[in-house]
Amino acid sequence: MHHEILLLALPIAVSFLVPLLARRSAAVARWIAFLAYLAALAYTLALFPSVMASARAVIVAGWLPPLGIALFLSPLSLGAVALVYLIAALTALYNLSSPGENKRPEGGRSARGVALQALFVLGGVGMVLTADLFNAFVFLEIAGISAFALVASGRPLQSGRAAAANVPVTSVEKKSAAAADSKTASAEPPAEAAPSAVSTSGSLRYLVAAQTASLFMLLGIGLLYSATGLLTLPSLVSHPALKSSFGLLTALLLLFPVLLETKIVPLNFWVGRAYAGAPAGFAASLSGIGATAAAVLLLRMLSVMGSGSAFAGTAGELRGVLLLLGSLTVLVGETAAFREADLKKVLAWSSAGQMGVVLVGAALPAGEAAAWVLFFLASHAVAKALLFLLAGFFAARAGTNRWKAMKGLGRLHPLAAGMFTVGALSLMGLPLFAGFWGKLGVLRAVFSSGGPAVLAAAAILLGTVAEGVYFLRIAHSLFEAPEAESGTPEAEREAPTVGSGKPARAPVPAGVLLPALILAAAVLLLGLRPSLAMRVIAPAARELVSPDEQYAQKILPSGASR
Amino acid sequence: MVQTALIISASALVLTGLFGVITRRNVIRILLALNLLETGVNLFLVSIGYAPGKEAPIVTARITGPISPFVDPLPQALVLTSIVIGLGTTALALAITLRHYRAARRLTLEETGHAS
Amino acid sequence: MNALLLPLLALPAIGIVSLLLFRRARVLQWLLFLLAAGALVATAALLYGRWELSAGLSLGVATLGFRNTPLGWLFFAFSSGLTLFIALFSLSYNDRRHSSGVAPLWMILLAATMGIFFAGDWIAFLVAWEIMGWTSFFIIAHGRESSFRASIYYYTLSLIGTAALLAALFTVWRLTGTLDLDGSLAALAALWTAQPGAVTLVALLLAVSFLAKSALGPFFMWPALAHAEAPDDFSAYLSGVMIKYGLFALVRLVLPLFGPAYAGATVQGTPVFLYILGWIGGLTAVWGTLLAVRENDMKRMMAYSTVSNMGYILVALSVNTVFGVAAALFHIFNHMIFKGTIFLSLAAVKYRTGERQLHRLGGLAYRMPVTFFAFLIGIIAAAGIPPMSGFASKWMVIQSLFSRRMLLLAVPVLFASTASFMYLYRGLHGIYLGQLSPRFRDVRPAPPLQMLAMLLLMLAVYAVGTFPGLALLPIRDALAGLQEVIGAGGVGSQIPVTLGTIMGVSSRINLTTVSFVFLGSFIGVLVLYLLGKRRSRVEWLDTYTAGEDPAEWNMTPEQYHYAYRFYEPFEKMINPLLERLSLERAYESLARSFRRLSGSVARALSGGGAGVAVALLALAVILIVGVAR
Repeated sequence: MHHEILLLALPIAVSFLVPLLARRSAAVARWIAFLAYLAALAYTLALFPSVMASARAVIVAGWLPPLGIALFLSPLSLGAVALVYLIAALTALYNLSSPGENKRPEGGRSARGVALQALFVLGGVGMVLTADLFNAFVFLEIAGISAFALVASGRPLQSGRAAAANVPVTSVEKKSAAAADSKTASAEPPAEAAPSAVSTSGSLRYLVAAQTASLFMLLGIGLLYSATGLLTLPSLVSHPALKSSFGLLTALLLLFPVLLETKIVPLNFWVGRAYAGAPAGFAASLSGIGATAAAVLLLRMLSVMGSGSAFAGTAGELRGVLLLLGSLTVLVGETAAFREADLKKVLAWSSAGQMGVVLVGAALPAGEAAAWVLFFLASHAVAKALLFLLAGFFAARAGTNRWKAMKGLGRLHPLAAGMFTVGALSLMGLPLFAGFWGKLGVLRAVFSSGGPAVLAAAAILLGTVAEGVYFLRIAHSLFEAPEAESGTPEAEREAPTVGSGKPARAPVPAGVLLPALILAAAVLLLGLRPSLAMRVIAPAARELVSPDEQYAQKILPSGASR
Repeated sequence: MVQTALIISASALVLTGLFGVITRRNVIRILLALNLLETGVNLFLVSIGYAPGKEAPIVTARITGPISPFVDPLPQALVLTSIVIGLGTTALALAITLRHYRAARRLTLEETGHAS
Repeated sequence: MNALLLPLLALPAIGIVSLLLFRRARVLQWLLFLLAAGALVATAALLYGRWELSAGLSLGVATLGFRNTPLGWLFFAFSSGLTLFIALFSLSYNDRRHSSGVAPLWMILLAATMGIFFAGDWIAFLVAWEIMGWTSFFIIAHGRESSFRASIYYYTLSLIGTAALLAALFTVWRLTGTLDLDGSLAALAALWTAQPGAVTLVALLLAVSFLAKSALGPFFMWPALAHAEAPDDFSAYLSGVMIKYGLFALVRLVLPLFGPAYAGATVQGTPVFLYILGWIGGLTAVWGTLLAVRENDMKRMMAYSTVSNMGYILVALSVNTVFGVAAALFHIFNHMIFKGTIFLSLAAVKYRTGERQLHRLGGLAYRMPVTFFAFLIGIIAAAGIPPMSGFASKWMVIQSLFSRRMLLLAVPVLFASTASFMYLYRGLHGIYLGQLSPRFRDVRPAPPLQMLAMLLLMLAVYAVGTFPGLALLPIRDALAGLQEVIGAGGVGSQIPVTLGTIMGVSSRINLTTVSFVFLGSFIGVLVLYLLGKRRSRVEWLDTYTAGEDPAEWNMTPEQYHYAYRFYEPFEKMINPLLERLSLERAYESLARSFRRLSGSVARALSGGGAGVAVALLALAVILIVGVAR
């Protein structure tokens, strides 16, 4: 059997073994998960040299494509898998700690939560590796289902103090908090306490939207199969073109769930509540792993649809539609983030905006921006995970997700706030940080294609202005001194206690500090030495730009495309 | 003929389900509509593989020659997977709905007064 | 690793290290800052004359190129000199009570500044420009909410400028195919006949970006917020160095487009584009002056004064001759020095008294004589009165207008220049003259290090005023290389100057003689003052009130202060005009609309079934449009 299956088998093993082995203690579960992801990351990195030399397909279960399922190991897919496992490991490390007063393991940290998280990782890895459309659909569903469950498992922060601190809480959350307080008097098993209406409603909305979208993809798969008799992406590459309107319809249907996962307008209405309700560790995964894997799948699909393939007749119109959607997403995402008071929602909408940039770059003809889109995606995944993890930490310290309530936390934890600023500046696209190169590259490609793409450039630039303002607002409020007359010596002022009742100088837990440091270091490293990543990204981009020789021919047995 | 009937009923189910998902407020009704949508799509998939006059793709003692007298088995395999996914998703959705009811005391997904 | 690259790389590294390691030991941070400033001056000395020097920083995907050009060197040398004096001041200013903790970021900013001045290609320029942006944002805000509002205002305008800069950058890249600064500008300038629209677009985008950075035209209001709310020693750097970036970029990047290769319309000998810029500069000068007159806060007043001075510089640049550029550069240099002096003396006052409002100060000349003198010298220079340096540069600016017969534009410049005396004197009197408030009876003079910094700056102002060639000769040499790039021939193509004389279109002035005349008169008057009758001290309210008791009208000593609502009649005259033309209100309403839009977008997107409906409706529309084609 091919040993590369380990890439998929490890998360499955985690998800099945953890409920068995970790009956008593959730901590065992979290350690198993962390070590497993670390092992998977190591394994992925070990595979790199051979794959960089020549990408290869791994045939599963002996059935040859285009009928059977093949996993494609290439710089692009392996690079994405490595990124996914890195973020999974760091998030698992984060879950090992308890950044707040939450003694009861929050949704993502119980044994069941760990198992679900492993399934989410499986979905992400799978959709990147597979070459079969229906297989991708199944992996999307796997990721989706675990995401729905994990989002629903979120619970309101210890809102007792938040209510006292004059933070308006919805009446429902107050009731549930009151219910929680009374419930804990009785013997309620810790993991069941206090569901949050925000989490469950966010999860349900997400579920309905994602399921509808996936069903559309299934429709698309059916249509595609009826017209071509094919299910695998590589076989579409050299297939004679479909009729143009039929091709456009099928293409759009197929793209639905990935567009939804990557928060593209008009499919991103679920973003706000789902992210607000998700537990902090999972929000990081949702953005860092989920959106990234979906984006890679999207890029793969677009690369196949763009070339002289079954969709040759519709490529131009598809590009136009996607360019428009991408620009709208940038504008909508950045505008919506501007006003949000919930830090997680701000970060989620910001992600939407960034994905808009990715889509704009992907929609450019001839894949001009391919390498920079990938760089942009990677820097976004790393920076966003960093921001979400730190946001979770600050929220736990402040007792609420509202960023205005986190004022001054940076003075107590300057390193954490500094790293948050690093992440924010990277997303804004400022030099010394990773995001600068990605944004510059995409913008350059957009400008050089001319024509309607210039409007997309205007949207991206406008988005940058809005992004700068709201990110700096938040980053600065972390460092703000609580209001005092000018001239009061800050060193002599008492370290303020903000929100939590702990002595405010409690140090940042290692489980938060370590992943944050690693991610921040990655952001800085990529910013100062972008060529490090280009060694993997350049061949990955080539795969996207010439899917025929770099992709299709490596998977299909020679000459075999029905 | 059969195929047309299948496709029409599949479309009807899909449209009904879509309508329900978009316009219903009660979560249970949304989930019911979602199920209708799923069923419609599955039916559509089955109808793709249909070929008039062919047999079900099960090898029995009666069939001796090459595979050609079967309807296309591939969509049927897809549908089996899809049905199972739908089952799992519905179960999960109902569980989440239960949790939602405990948290929100009602079965709709309205904004509970924008907390921000 | 040559003299160009080493400071560029070392400075941010030291800054980051000091941020991480020396968080507690603030004094050490400021000491490092002083050393860094000194190192920069040494670098400037090293780099002089070595115009062939260049360096490239390879990052794999791009190479940042830096080149030692005379123009860049000028700006670098001037700003490093000023920074050294400010660093001296800061070392004493940032004690436990007043420390702002911005030294590490400031060091990174110094490196970015160097990058901007020595950039050899567009990407290097952009990288340095952006780093300058975010570091200055954090420095201005320095952890206080009121400062944050000022800073985010400044940074939003800066971001808009960046967007324009990016658009220009990519357009230039597409049009000329090269990213090298000089090469692409030359190629672009050659396109005037072939693609005038494209070149104009690039010039416009660049102009927007750089006008925003230098607070000219519609962007005039951010210094009043930012310079005022920034840490006091940094205000001197802001007004002295940072606001000049836009003007440097205009000279470096925009003026070469209007060189000999220009083939468009001209007005009175200068391209239309530059003529319009000139008027923007003139109007900004007037506007800045009017707004400064109204101010009661000394830092805001000086910030508006800076805006006004930037107007003069833009006017000088708009004549598009070597003489005009020399006048502009000379005024930039002078403004750096005298504005630095002014702001440092204000910082010293604030350091000792904690006050910024003019009507709460007064009479400090007796308690803080060195600070008083520094301010006095500064405002004499700012008003353009000999023997201080400001006179020479303002005179040259007007002369450059004369050389093009642009007499109409000279009107606002002269008006602004003369009216500036209104607020400058008010500042002087409000803070230093008049009567000493009882609160400040025991105010001590500024600490010795601060006094030293101010003394050095005063000397610089006086020295350049007496020997203008000190600044003008290096400027002339630097511009010698630019002659073929900027306007050719004619009366403005040389800069006749000797060490002590300035020469213009209509006359020449031997400033050394003038200066010694003034010095002689000053000594004469001083002698008379010392020998004359003694004066007596009186209390604040001990003044003629026609028998009435001011306390009955609820008058406080502060309200009765000489400087309170000093120019009320004048304000009453111009207030209606200022209210109606308030750009601030326009920006405010823009920001408000954007916030409301953001709220509705967020709300629309959180709706449930409605969202799905919208989504599918949109999809249907797109499909129909797509299929119908």
